Amino acid sequence: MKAEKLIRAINDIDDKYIEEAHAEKRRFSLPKISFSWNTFGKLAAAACALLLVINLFPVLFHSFNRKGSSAGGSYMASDSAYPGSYNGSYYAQEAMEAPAEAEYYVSDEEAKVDAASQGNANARQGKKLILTSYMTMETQNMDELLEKISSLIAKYGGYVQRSSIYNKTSDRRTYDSSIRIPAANYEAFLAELKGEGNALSYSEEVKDITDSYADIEARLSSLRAQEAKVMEFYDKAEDLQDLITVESRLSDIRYQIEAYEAQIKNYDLLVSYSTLNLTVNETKVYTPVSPSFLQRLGSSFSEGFSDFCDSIGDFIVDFVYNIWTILFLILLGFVGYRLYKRFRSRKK
Amino acid sequence: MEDNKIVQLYLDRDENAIAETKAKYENYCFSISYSVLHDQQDCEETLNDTYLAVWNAIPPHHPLNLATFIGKICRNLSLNKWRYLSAEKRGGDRVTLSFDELEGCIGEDRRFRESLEEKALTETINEFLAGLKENERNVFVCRYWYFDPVEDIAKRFSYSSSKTKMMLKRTRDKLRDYLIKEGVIL
Repeated sequence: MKAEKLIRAINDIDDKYIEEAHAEKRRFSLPKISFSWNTFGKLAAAACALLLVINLFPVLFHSFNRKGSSAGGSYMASDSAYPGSYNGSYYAQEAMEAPAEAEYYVSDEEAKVDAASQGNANARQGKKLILTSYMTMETQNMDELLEKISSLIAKYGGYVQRSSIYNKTSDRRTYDSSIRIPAANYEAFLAELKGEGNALSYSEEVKDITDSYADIEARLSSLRAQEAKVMEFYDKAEDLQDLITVESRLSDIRYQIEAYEAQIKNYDLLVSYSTLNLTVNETKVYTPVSPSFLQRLGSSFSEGFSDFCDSIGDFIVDFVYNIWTILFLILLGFVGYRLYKRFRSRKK
Repeated sequence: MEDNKIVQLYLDRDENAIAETKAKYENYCFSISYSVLHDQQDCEETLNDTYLAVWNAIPPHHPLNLATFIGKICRNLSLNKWRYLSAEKRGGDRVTLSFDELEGCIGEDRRFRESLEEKALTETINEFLAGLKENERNVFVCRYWYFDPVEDIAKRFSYSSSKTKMMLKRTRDKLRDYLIKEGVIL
């Protein structure tokens, strides 16, 4: 056979060629990546779809929630609509020293407190109450509203304890703050604030500290009496041992008095200043207060479209931001896919 | 154990040389032999013959590359065994297919030069292989030295079977032209 001579001759070819081919055989266990635009395209499309869903999901979720809240009217007395803290690109925090104490304590007869009602200052008389409220508003002009809020705070002698602005887009910002207003001026401040924008939700929490306040006052009174008594012993003390014992006791009493006084002072501050946690969302279209079906339909359509446009913008920005991660994931998926195919074909 | 130490054991006529060779190259030799014979028992017999042949070959030989030295002996012995086993029957096994392919490469109407020695033919083939691209050469060696199936080669190089077959066909054609040009086949 002619070929046998050739095959025998091939047997003695250079070792380097045999080794070279053998090295290639050894690499058999390792995947050899061959580029395929088809697979790459599929993986890229899957990654884009996933990113789009992730971006659109909050819009759908928000839309669902908004419909629920608008059905309940503009004020939800027992609704805890406070959205919590924001993580944004811009975060500013302001803290100011509290102004001089403003006493808001009326020792009158017991009154009922209706947390959801407004103008209930009289009902709070005779009680030591700490008022914390939560309010969500929307505005079409954020800068103008913030200026008005600042002027209102100044007008009623309050201060901003904490504030932050989340710049989602240039015309879709969220302002979040904690405002402290003297309790006596709180109702007037609130009434004026509501007129400045479209209030979506409001809730109040009132903590009654009358009993613990009275208890601390009683202890303080008792300690002061003890202090006076010990002072008498101090004046009468004759030897050094008595003097040391009396001084030690006096020191203990004064320490307790200071602790209780600080607590009283803190309570006074909390009672004298009401806290309003305010969230303002910038919007292009106000949510109707008592929307009809058609209004809701129109509002949903326009807001939905607006949110959709924002989401597309967000999607593009997110896509560019995550481009390296996406490319890495595509590469990983591609390698995994090739490995799987190779494993399956080998198994066959 | 390193190759030079194993070779030294052979040169010292130490019988541990065979055990060390078996430990290191059994799988390699088995894969070569199995590509030709496709029978475990035949392969094991060929492997034992290979170890004996290596024992007899070193000395006088002093191989610099023990792996290919043993591989060549194993391949030759496997081909001898295959020739013996296939004397009565002619099937469509890998070696036969490779033979058929190379037979077709030479052509029915052509023959080797009478005075040509096998060593000279090997030299010509070496020169031919040196002029090939690396992947073409590897595919050729995998097919006609290791007798690997076309499908395995295609997977290894991430080619399709048809591309691999076409590559082999072109390489065979080039080989035929080269052999004609060098006056190896008339």
